[in-house]
Amino acid sequence: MTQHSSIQPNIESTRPLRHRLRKGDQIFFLHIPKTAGTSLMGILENQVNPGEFFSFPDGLETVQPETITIAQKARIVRGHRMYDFQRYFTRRPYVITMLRNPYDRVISNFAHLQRNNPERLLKLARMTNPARGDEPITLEDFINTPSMQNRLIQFLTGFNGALKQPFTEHLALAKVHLEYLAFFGLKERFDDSIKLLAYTFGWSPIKLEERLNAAPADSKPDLTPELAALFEKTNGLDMEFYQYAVALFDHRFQKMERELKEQSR
Amino acid sequence: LISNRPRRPLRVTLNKDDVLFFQHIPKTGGLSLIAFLDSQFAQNEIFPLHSAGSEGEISKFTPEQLQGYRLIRGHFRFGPYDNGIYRYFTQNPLRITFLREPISRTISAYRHQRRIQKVGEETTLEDYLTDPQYARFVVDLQTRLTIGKIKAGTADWTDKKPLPDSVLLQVAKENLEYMAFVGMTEQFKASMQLLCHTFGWRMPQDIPQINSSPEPFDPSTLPPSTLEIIKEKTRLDAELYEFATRLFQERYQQMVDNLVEENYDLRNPHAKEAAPLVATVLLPDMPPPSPWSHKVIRSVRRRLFPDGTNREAIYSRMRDSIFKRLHSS
Repeated sequence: MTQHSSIQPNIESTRPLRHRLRKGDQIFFLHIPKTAGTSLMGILENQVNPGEFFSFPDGLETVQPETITIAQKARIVRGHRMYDFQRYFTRRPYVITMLRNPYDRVISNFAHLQRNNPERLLKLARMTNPARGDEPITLEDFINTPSMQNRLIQFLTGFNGALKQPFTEHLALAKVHLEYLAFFGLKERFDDSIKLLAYTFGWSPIKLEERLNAAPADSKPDLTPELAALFEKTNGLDMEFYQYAVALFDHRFQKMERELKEQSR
Repeated sequence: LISNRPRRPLRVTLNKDDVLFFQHIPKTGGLSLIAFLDSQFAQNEIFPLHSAGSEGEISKFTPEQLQGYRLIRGHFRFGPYDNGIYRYFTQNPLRITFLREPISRTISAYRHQRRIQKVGEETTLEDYLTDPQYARFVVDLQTRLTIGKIKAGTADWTDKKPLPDSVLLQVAKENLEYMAFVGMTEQFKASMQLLCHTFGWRMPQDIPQINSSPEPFDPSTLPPSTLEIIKEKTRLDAELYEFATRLFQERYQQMVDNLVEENYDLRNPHAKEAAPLVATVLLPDMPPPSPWSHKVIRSVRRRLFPDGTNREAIYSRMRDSIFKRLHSS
């Protein structure tokens, strides 16, 4: 690894945490599946007038002209869209997202698809192995599916033919993009994330509602050494990215607390 | 690039609280543009500084003054780690810029700096290109300015890059693509048309050239070895420029489509079919937009102009009519 991928985030960022939203400003909520984004969605919806929040239906289908018309009009746009979806906004939006420990996210994503969309799971497995029958797809199968690997980085870089495998450059780009985000939160620190979100846009403190779209509590399998090794091999870059993001989140959160303390003096 | 993708609208309605930020890259025709931009805003809405030498200079302004500015133009950078002017205005202004072919830009900068005696009379072009003290004016300047500082602890890079080339370029391209407008110095008039279309401004009758070189310079007179040095020093800029050219052509095409659709179809039943032809004439090097192949264009042309009327003349009439409307709107 080169110096480009050191874990330490750039902590002396001068970029302010707070953004005063202007009349024309828009927010694009880049919703990575299974990162508590659905809970966040409810919160976001409450911050704007009815009709100013738009949520794309799930699925990464191609962009239609109607999609763009909607993205132009809404004040907050949410969707399972990648970083480069910004190009469909005439005004560059503030981009926000939620992140989560990649291992937990993958487990949750797998369980979610098993419950709600087994056809998609089968389709994914057949992309890697077209000859496979319709026997049940295991977690290992899922982890071994290339398009499902390093998903945090994928969402934060967009489809990027320009960058070369083995994607260390994607990692570097994802870190840069993190700096461009007005806000990102961590599922593991949901309450803190919401505080930081409200602070970012000057919204009044947000009362937390129930978690939405969450998996039943008992659905998480044990992390065996074999599984851990497989995961490290297939999603190592995402793990590194996540550690970086956690450190940056810590930094931003502490900065907010310092600023709040100074204001209350 | 993006040709078959759905396109975002070009037009922006400026609100009272919007801030427009023109990122002025030296020797791209920026001063001429600034004269025009300034005429679109009231004097007290224009941030008077053209570059911020120090923090102290900005702190001379009151917060109320700073809040009131709607146009910022100058050699400012906009990266997440720039100690930026954006802290005083907004982090999300509407950004616009101009790019220029990097070889001409570099030579123009050299000649300009000699004229204003920032570079000594005895300094040759080769010295200027290779002397580290001038590297910040030379090495991939357009890419560096477009990105700004994206990593802490890294000074403005000219020799040791903070990230791999592909990442730097990607970030620079994104920055351009997410801007409301990107113009090309080489196509100044067409750029002004697109700019006016974007913000709903009246097209100026003539655009004075400010700060341009007294006598034009022909890069082909350079020795090949010098040309090689410039190319090597502006490799990323060359790639960024190529990207910007395609982006410009695409947006220009979109503007023409808009204008034809809005202004022309009532007068000419074939306007929609002819739309791609208009643009082909306006920008001769532009490929016909999909699904228009050259073959289709030829057949449309035969149908529209069976008598073999000079097509250049017809196109230019169509174009003039469109832009006359733009003027008077």
